[in-house]
Amino acid sequence: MQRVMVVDNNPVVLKFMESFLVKNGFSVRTAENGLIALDLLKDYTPDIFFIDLIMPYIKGEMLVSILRDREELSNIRIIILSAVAAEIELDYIAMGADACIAKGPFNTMGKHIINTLNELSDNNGNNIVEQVVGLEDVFKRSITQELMFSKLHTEVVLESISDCLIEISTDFRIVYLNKAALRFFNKKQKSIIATNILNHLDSGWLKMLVEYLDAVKAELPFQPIELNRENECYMLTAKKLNSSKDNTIVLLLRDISLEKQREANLKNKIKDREMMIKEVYHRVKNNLAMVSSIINLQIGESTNDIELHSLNDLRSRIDSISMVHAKLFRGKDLNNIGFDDYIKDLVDNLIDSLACTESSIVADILIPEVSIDFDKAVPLGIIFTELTTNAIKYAFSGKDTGLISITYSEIEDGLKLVFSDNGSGLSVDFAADKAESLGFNLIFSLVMQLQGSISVENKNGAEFTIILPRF
Amino acid sequence: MTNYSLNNLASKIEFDPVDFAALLELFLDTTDSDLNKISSAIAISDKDLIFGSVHNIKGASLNLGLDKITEFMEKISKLNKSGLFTDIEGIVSKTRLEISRLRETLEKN
Repeated sequence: MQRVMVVDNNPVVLKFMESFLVKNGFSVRTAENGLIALDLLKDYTPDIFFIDLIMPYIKGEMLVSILRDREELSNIRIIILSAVAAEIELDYIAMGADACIAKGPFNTMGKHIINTLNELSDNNGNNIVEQVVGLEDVFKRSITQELMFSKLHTEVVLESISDCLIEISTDFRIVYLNKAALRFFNKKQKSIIATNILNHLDSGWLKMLVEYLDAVKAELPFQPIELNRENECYMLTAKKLNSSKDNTIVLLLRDISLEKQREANLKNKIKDREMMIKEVYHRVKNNLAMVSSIINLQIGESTNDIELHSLNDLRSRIDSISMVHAKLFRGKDLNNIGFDDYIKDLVDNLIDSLACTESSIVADILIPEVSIDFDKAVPLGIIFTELTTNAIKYAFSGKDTGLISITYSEIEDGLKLVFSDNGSGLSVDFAADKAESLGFNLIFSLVMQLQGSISVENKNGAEFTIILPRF
Repeated sequence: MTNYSLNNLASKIEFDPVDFAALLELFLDTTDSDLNKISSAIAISDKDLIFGSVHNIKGASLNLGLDKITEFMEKISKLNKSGLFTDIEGIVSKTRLEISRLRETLEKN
């Protein structure tokens, strides 16, 4: 008894074919798509296949190609049984089929099936049927032909894109893949169609892939995933396509190796640039330290009190600028430093270097953690150097102890910095903007440069209030 | 309006009425699903989905000699080609009516 397999997604056709062929003495198995047909081949080897062309999952043409590639099926006869045979020009022989029957009314179709089987068995089974059988029973429909061409156009577009497009069944078997995907897998289409996609991917990806595909299958929220191997990197996006019966998952695999390489190069360049900037800060700090040391040497040589006074002030100003560069060099941020730490270190250094050993001057600095950029840090450093130096030198003369306070607060229009001491206070007629000393001139002009204002009061000592725009 | 007779329908394609009834029942069950797909596809102007569902119905109706339904499917194909999606729903309704009449014929036997 000859064994037949009928592959068609139309249950009416399957039922008819099974009943008709059994009545005519054949053993019959039916499959509603190509994946099921390939599964049935594990324990059923047919002599004859009837295959429809338009089916879900694997198309008829691809199924023929896969079957023709199997050694154990080298003697099979394949008959295309399709409605589109009446609608478009089909080169079924080039596809690998032995005959083609146009679907029509079952009574005439049945006769064509028997006649075709007889014809194929003539000449020791070596002949093929060169004309589509049954065309006379159906009328040609150009509309379908045009829609088929439209469908083919979409396929041409998909074949030409550089991204890998893979369609898989919900049990992860490949049912379609474009040319880019074939290049990715480095396989022939017929050797990979109907196989599990997980068998063809990097073993290191499997856990992540299965989790991802399960999430896609369950239609859970998910993000595209990155898959890496050696120097390659891919972005995988998937979407479940729901139809009433034949659900599939479409995977889009994009090679992003070049983008990743560019991103890594850019990161390296930024790192190099950061190292270079830090090196510049380091060198500026060292050069300023050298200038400060030279001034120090000059102080050691000097016997003139006025000159000593000026040189000490100059060194403090240079040290305050050097400290900004030191903090930028040591910090993580290339443009900003911690304002609170900077002012605390600055004031402590000045007290250590300028205050007499007999007197005890302490600083109470209440500044929250705020960052300040390089352009503001330098003038503010000089302003607080001048105010602190002035307080240490003049405010506490004749006193054993002294307190310097600095506070920071945010106000409606900006920031308020208050520097005060509990010393002897300023002279009654003192005005910051009219002061003649270099120190107060510097303070006044730097506050202006920062677009701020300064006011002075005597409140149990001197109190300087600086209002600035927000950092 | 066509008055169907199961015997006439079966004899048209030289079938035994019992065998024909089994195939017709299967056809009616699957056609409902395809008609629903066409209605959904009209809403999103999906030509390919309409094409696929029309192809399924038309193939089986041709096999069973159900000329009226084949003719409706031909009309839908033409409208689909021209993008006249809003006119398709009317033909779908006529097809549903035809399907229900075939079902009644089947149930009477």
